[in-house]
Amino acid sequence: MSGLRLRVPAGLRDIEEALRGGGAPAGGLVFAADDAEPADFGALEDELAECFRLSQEAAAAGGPVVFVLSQPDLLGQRGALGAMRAGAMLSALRSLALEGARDGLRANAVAIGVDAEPQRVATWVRMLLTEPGVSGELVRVDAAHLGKALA
Amino acid sequence: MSDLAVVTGGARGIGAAVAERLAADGLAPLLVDLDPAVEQTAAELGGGASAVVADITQPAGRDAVRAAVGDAPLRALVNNAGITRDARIGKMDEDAFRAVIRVNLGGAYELTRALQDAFADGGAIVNMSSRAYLANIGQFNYSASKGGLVGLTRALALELAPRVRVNALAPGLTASEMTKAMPEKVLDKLVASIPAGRMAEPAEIAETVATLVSPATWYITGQVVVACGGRSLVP
Repeated sequence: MSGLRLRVPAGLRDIEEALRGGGAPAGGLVFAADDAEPADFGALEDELAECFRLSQEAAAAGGPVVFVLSQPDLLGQRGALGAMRAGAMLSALRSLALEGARDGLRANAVAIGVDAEPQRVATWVRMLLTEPGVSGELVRVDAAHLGKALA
Repeated sequence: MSDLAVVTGGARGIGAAVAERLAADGLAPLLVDLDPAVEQTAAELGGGASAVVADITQPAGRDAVRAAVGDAPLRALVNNAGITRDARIGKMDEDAFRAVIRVNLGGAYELTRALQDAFADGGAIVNMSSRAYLANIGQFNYSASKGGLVGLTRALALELAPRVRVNALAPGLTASEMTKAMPEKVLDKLVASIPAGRMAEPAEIAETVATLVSPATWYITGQVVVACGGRSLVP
């Protein structure tokens, strides 16, 4: 686990355990948004700033980067602050992917629905960390997004 | 008493054009800006236009805007105020990241909350996102702030329905003081990548805002209109 940075909040520890249990990738960053909605805009700004700092470190080290987001938040279904966090992180992730493409930096996101199994989420995180050729993508691990707005 | 349209970042550029266009639809624009020049902009618009010099990232600034709205029915809020602090991520400092998030995203969120009780039934919010929400080099912060506005748009569309509609507009390169300050070669290269063959004019962006504010588009809410001259499609 030496080169892999896992930023996983308490509510998503099952995903962290599943990721460690399956043989964690050698390096990169996994940044999972907090499970709960930010208390206020200040808390949101702090979380996004932490995401920026860790992404900057990961980019300097050559990545790869995976953000874990809430699928209901991407659709604005749980409240404004959570939706702002998800939207901000997804757009930042895509800019990171574009900026790093020339240097081989890959950055992707996994959006998890309310019923997503931790093992399945970990499988996709691991794949996005290890498999080359995919960057700037969003993988949604549930079916609740079907027929809804594209993120 | 005319229905009000609050436009942030109203001193110049897209904000001033939006205020002028909404005034043509019979709304009384209340222009908000940190720059005192906003008072001159409002004076030149005439009619029912007014101005508030305020920093909407601060509670006192938002209180000043709320006080200026008073009991007038608020028909439209255009969250247009924004800044850039561009740099590749390796050279971006945290202050630059936080400043852009705080102004572009926090200002819109907090001001919307402060004005929420003033909306008339049938009101509309337009959040000024950017084509950069889809990604842009050197804009990790700006892109995040504009993607955050898309999230805010979706959440508020659900929260405020059916009284108030909420949409986002994502302009591409638009003629402004910022683009005028760019090196000619850089600007030419950017323009060459736009299928429309030129930058947008602020008046064109304002026209789209007016469309989204209009009762004629009542059934549209929670959406993002990308006005980029086709730039988001080219290789």
